[in-house]
Amino acid sequence: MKSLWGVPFYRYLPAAILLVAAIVYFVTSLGYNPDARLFPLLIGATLLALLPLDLVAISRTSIGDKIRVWFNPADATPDEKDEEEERPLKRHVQALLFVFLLIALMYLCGILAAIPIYVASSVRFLGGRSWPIALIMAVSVGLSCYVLFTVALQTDLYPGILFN
Amino acid sequence: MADWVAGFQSLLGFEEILYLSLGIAIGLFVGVLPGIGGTTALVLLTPFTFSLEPVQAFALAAGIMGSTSMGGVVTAILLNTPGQTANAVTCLDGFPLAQQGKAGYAIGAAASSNALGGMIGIISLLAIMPLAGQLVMAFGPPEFFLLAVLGLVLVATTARGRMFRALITTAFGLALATVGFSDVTGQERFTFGNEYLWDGVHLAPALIGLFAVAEMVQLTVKGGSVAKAGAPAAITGMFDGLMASIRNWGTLLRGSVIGTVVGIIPGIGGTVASFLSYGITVQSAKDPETFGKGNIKGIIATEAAINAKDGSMLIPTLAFGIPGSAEMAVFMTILVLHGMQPGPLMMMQNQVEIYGLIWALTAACVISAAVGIFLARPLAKLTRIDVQLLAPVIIAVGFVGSYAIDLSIENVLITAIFGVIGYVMIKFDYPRLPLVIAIVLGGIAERNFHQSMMMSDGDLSMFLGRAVSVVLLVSIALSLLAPNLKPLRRAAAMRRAAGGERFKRKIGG
Repeated sequence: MKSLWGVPFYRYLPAAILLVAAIVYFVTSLGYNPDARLFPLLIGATLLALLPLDLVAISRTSIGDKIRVWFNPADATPDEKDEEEERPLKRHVQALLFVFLLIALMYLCGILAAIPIYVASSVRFLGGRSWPIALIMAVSVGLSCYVLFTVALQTDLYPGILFN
Repeated sequence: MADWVAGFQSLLGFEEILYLSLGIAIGLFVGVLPGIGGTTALVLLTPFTFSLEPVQAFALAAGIMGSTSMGGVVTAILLNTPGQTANAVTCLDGFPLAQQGKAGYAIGAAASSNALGGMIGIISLLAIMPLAGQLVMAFGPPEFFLLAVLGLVLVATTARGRMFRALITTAFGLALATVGFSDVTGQERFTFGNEYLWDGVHLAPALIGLFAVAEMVQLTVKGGSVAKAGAPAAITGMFDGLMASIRNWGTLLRGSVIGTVVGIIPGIGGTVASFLSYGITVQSAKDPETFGKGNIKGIIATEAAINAKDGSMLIPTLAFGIPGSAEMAVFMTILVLHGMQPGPLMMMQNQVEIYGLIWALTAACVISAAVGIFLARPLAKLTRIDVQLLAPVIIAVGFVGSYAIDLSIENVLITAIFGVIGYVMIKFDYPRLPLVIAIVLGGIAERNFHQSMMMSDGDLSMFLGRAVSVVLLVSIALSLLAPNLKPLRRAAAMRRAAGGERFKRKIGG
């Protein structure tokens, strides 16, 4: 894996993306009237000052070490990271993809149809359980949501663009 | 005294007890469900209360208000998923305890501090009532602004070892708080033409994403169960937990006082109370490094503050007609529906109803804690379930709950976006709590800062000319310096020791 200043490249990504967002935020706020932009400009300027420092602090360089010590009091050791082995990237992507599958299904087919499909597929493919268990889970959760939200709370659940 | 007794007697009817019990059951139930808070439940039940007698309606409302926090505790400790925003802080030490197999101990402590904190808050309410006016009047826009800043600083400094990143996420949260119509100028900001964002980033869907979804995705990736392998399966230590809040009576009392004071100040709410209480407890502790890893004092301080504020929050609502929170705003609607106009006149004319409400709130605090303890054992078994079965259920209910808040499909999208943000924050070690508190306090801070500047024609020195402001400024400075003072002192002591050693060697040589 490619590394930069002693740290894998991907470790810089969140701070770098946030820096780009902060620049957009700062520039956008310049377009508002003086009263409305005062607070956003202060926040934007703070982010623009802190984020480059964070990028440097991530690196394993002498300046990075100094920033880490300076801004994080010496007695406060960072929380112990999980000692469990890092899971492969594929696993992270799969888990997130299933969440997006749920959103897409909710939007297309409606909430009551999306939930059983999501639960069944998640239990079967992510959890590696048998189809009968996946289907029992799907029906139970779908039914519970219907009883709780539609019957008890009288909430009209989103029907989806296909059935609306 | 006669009104006090009459208030108690008014609650003793069969129907009043029934509605109080119903309120407690609803409060516990919605408290357990992430994203559906007491406010939502109150809103849904407001039309229903119209057909009830005032005391019955108050019993129902008090049951909900006094018990949602206890419901939220269960999911916060067992699943790291706060049922209520304020319970987010309970996760910090509650979840690590659950992972160590001490869920019973944590829930016991939370329940007893919840009940005792609630009672202390109500006793304070009775004691403060005559002085309430002066206290609320002492807080103007400069004080509200500084109180918001103090909340932000405390949150950032409690992220031990990650203070720098906590400051970044605080600023990020403040940036998110500026989305929508400006309270000051009415100008639309950062909405990029999207109507949904006019009201800003909706907090509840964002919270469900940041906590419930992010946590469940992480658990899905890890596999196993919520409780770490090897942790004892039995829920033991419940009684120890109950006694823990009495053993740590100082923490309990401090949390209750903080909750009471914050509750009196309108617009601040339980989230700030819990953060403030937790932050001050961490800063004043001899072992601050143990917080966030399962220190029972973290739970006691938080839960006592959350429930103590419920009583004191009634002061501005009843005495001045200023709702202290969204929940109180809905409750005011219920009062008006029953022909009562909150304000000084109500304090004189409706004493019996007010005392009835206070009694109902007290009963709700105690009963919900007892029911919470009773239900903790079966609920604690949730931590043993394989996450591959549990996570899809939590994620699905979280998303439906997010939609149900205001029947908006955009809420679902916000939950998903914040779910990804939360997951990235977990993976890259950015604290999530400062982000939440900054979103909550951003609007308050900006609005009051602008009002302060208008009051003083842009003169910043006004913050130094008011007694409460000065106290708050000093508190902010101390909060920023306190985490750095200990290491500096330790480093100086080490330098002195090293110098002494060199001196000895020199003499010896």
